[in-house]
Amino acid sequence: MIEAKWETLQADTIAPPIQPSDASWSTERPSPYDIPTHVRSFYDSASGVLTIEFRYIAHEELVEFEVPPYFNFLLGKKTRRIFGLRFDVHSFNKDKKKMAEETAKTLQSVPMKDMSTREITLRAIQSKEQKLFAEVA
Amino acid sequence: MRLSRLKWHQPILKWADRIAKGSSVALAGLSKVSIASVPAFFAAYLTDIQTGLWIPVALVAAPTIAGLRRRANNSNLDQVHRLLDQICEETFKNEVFQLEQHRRVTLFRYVPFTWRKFPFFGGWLIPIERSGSSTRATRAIFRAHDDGEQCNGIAGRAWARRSEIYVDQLPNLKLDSSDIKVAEYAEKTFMSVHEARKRSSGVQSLLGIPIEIEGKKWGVIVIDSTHPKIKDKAATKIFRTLNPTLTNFLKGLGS
Repeated sequence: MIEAKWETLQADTIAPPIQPSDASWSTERPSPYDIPTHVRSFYDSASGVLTIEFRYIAHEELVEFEVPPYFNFLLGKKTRRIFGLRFDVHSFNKDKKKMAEETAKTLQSVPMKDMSTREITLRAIQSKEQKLFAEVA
Repeated sequence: MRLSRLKWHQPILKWADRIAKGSSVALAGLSKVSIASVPAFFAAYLTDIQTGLWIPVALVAAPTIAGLRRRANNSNLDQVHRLLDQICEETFKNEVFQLEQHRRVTLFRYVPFTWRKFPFFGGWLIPIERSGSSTRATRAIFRAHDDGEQCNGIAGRAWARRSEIYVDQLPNLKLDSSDIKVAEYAEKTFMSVHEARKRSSGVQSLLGIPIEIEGKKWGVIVIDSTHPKIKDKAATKIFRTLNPTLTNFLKGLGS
């Protein structure tokens, strides 16, 4: 298993500020607790499982959540933030593009407290896609 | 509301704790002494101690005073104060202010009840600590109702939306407190006109950051400045860095 080092995520890239419609003079960003600070992936070539992990400014107890047929997620028990996901790369014939697409699609099925968490996770993966899927040969 | 910590009660509680503990030990010892073995003049006192309420009172008083002393220990709040100073320093690095009170970092904590604001119940954000040493007397208490529509102020908005809220270029009410400017200030800071009129400190930019402990909303940090803008990214960055330490001290404040 090759374990990658943590990659720093840019908060402004994965959670850009918005001007809410009811208060356009203000700038709003998701809570700092909802934005992952780091991401990493490790690939187990023996089993063919790729794991992507996220780190936040606060940790919490995790629960597993399965999205059949390919994905397993690690979610924060109270907050439902995504702390990790893993899948068998053979299911996608090791096609990196397919993996990224299917990850984005599957994220829609994960129960989260609000939509922004899902979008932030997706942008975090997309911003480091090359590095996260690099080990899958 | 004055944010200064009540340091005068600490030595009182310290001595009360010592006296209560010492008395408990003495009373425990005296409860085992045989009345027949002591001189007659002392026997009456000993009977009183052994049969009266002295021992039950000591049994209740000693742990109560010890508990009060633990709660009154402000060392965690001192640490929180240092962290707020650090956030303030980093956020306003290289900026010049005439007075310390022209940039502040205030920590608000959620409480379901407060006697300081009508209608008392329903959720409030009350100030518990502020950076620096000036303007520590504050009446700023914001609604943090379950119904987000009822929340007010930048603190209430950050609480209700569980998001970081930043407003800048606010009208300077110290220079112009006309009805139009007060109404604009009120709208932009999510307050009523009446509340906005009471705040004429010249604050022109505000940033609210929600605080969580163990996945639950705990309170809000509000950074304010008399300058038209705050370096919000710098503020968020230092907040993210200091959060683990801050959380530990906030946990130590107890309920």
